[in-house]
Amino acid sequence: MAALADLQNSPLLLSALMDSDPRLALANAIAWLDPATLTKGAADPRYIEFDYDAEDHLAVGLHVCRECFPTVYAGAIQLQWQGAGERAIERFILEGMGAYLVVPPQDLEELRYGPSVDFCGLYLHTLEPEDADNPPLDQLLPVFGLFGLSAGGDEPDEVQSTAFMTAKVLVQSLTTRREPVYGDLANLLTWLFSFSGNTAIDYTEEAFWENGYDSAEWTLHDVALIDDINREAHEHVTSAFRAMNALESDPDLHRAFRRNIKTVTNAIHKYQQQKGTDNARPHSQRGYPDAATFTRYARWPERP
Amino acid sequence: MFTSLDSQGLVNCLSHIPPVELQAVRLLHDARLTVSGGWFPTVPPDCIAQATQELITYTQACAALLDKLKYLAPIIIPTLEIPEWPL
Repeated sequence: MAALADLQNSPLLLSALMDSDPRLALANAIAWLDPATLTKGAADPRYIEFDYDAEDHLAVGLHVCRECFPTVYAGAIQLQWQGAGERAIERFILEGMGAYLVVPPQDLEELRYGPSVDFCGLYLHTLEPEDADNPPLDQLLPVFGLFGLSAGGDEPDEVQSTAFMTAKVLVQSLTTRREPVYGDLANLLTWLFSFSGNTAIDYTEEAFWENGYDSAEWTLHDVALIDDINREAHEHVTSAFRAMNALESDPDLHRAFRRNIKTVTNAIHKYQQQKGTDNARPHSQRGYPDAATFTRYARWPERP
Repeated sequence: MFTSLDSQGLVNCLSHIPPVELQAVRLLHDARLTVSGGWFPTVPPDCIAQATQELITYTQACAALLDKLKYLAPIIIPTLEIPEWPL
């Protein structure tokens, strides 16, 4: 009986023993709350980079949470200690991260590629004919049409460059206007022609990777940066759709928009003719003046 | 201006550093008398989160310090005798 009592008391005695030694107490605490330090050697200064490809997706999820979302990491580790299944822990991690991120991951597998950027760039040459009937392109393609562009981007370089220049001129002419609808219209144009300066707005996912850019890392700095980019992109697209709705519901605005596109495009063509543009030279080598040269051709009506 | 430090001075200096009080160690200590069943205590999630965050920060600080120690310049100790050297 005494042996049985000793056996029953052994965990208590052992924990008391560990508690009395600072190093053992620390080891016990780490095993309880931060076992990833022990299993992955994260405390070792030689442990420079986590190998996202070598680890299974749950290990990746725990690592990411340890680096950037310690509250989620703490909860996931406690779930592990309670014997929760892998799927339950994965779900907990995804939901926990979702509370912090503007674009939450849908699957732990995605975490290998860094924080998600919600790419919403529009590249006409990558569009399929069937895309034209689906939102949001069913609304946006008619606007491209006003610039002489269509899905597929088959127009000559000269037409595309002039359309881009026209859009830049219109955006510049709108910067002096204080009416909210003109801010929305500028956002619509910078989205359509990919010159907003925001990565998520200006690139499709394919274009981003093809350009060879590095993806963001799972660090507090990069997570905050990507969140800012995604938040700004969502606001930008929302604003652009407000402009679309305004163009559809305000005939005077739509008329001014069409007229300005036409006037500025004509002014650019005229400028090229007067400057004696050498058509024998490749289009990319022909100089374009600054957009400010043409802003006086764009006139916008007063709006509330 | 700092000019020198002998080994006894270093011992005195280090021995005056108070022990780090980690919330995780304290939680384990406090719960030891009341724990029943599992090896680790049951603690409210808020406490767990705080203690985990503190432990991660502490571990990272220790790792960073260890990394810095690697790059300390070597010091010549002319008075130190190493009997094994002639061997």
